[in-house]
Amino acid sequence: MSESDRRVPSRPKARSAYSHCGYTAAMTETAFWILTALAAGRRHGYALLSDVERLSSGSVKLRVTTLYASLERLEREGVIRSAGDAIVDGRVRRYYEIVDRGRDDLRREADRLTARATAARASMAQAPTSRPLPAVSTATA
Amino acid sequence: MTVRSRSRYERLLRWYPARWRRLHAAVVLDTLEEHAEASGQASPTLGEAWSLGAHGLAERASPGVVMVGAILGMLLGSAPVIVLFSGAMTDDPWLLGLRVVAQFIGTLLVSTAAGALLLRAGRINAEPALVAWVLSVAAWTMGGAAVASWGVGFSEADAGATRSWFGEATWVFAGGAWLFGTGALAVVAFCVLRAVPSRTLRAIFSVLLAVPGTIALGVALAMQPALVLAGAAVVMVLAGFQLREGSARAHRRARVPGVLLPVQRRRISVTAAVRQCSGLGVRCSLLPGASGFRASVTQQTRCAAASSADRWWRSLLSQPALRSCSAVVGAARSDPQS
Repeated sequence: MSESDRRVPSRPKARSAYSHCGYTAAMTETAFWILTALAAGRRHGYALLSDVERLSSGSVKLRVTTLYASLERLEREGVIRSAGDAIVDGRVRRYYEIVDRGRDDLRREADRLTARATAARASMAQAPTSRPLPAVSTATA
Repeated sequence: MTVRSRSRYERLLRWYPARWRRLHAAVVLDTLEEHAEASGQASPTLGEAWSLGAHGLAERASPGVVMVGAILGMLLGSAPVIVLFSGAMTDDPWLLGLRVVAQFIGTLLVSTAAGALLLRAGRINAEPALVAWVLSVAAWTMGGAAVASWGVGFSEADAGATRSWFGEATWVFAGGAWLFGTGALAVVAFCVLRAVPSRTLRAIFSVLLAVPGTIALGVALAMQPALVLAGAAVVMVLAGFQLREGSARAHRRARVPGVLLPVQRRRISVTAAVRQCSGLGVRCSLLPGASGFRASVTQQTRCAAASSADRWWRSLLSQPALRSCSAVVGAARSDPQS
């Protein structure tokens, strides 16, 4: 059996919603937190608002309008999809779920952030420990 | 939440297009209601009202609207070029005013269309986009007034007449255009430069870009009005890509089992109705035969007629236009969720 025959056929790589003509743009912070919340399972709009605030430790507080505009854009880009409506306590709730392409994008973004953090930690580890500088004697003529 | 508060939210949702409201208004309204109850709000805040207005207007900026805006901008922006080449350049202040108004409305339309593209791509949020748009309207108005004032002042000086306030206010208008334009460009740059982690640094970079950028843009457009046409062409190409993507998405959606587009639903309804009518016709044509020639028309003959009608329908459904329709019906039937 040749080398090429032994190769495990890999899954076709999904095109990222953030790559255009070979350039990969960073995911927006809102998109990152929405996808992170949806990665745990399907959620409705209000649950996403609370989850994003909780997951980002309160640093990201989305408005309802921003949330739905982002959800629409992510749905248009094919990274999430609507998973049906339900009426709970007399209120209409629309559920959303992440699709494979969105999961791939989120994984790629998480890898990118991890690589940055690793580089920063490695760079900090290389720095010499703070020691007092040796005294420099100046000779006067 | 009180009924009054809900009706206020409903009124604010009118900023969104009617089609959007039909699809999403109930869900968004209930989420707004839930959020207001959780945060103890009795009515929409000023921030919410601004946000709903901004997002509603942003929702109206579809690729089709952007394309129309860019085409109109190109037509209006080409006014000075047409005037120049047709030899209709006169010193009539009304004609000059008309040309300047057309040119600057065209430029405003093209810049608005370009901003809408950034908005749809998620590079700018709706709230800052609305701020930038308001500032850009002020900037282009002031810019147009500065060019008109320059022309009037020049004509007055040429004729040796007393200078009017409008003719003398060129630099005031130009300064105003620069100030508002810097504000608009700085807001856009601040949103686009989100890769810069520090907000202070991003604000400094944005202002540093916007201050000379506005002067360069204003001077370039005043010297070379045909630049608007190039800008409009770029916007049209990008809007064309977005329109094509939207159309491709609709086709991809059409391939998902159980999800039918309105046009497919109509096609299926028409086909089913025609089939029913035709089937009834075949049966009606068999009935006189059954009554008049009961002895000669056997069950076998009826079956043969029915099967020939079915064959005819199958051949009709194999036509390219109806093949996709029958495939979609099959897929929808086979999908247990549909």
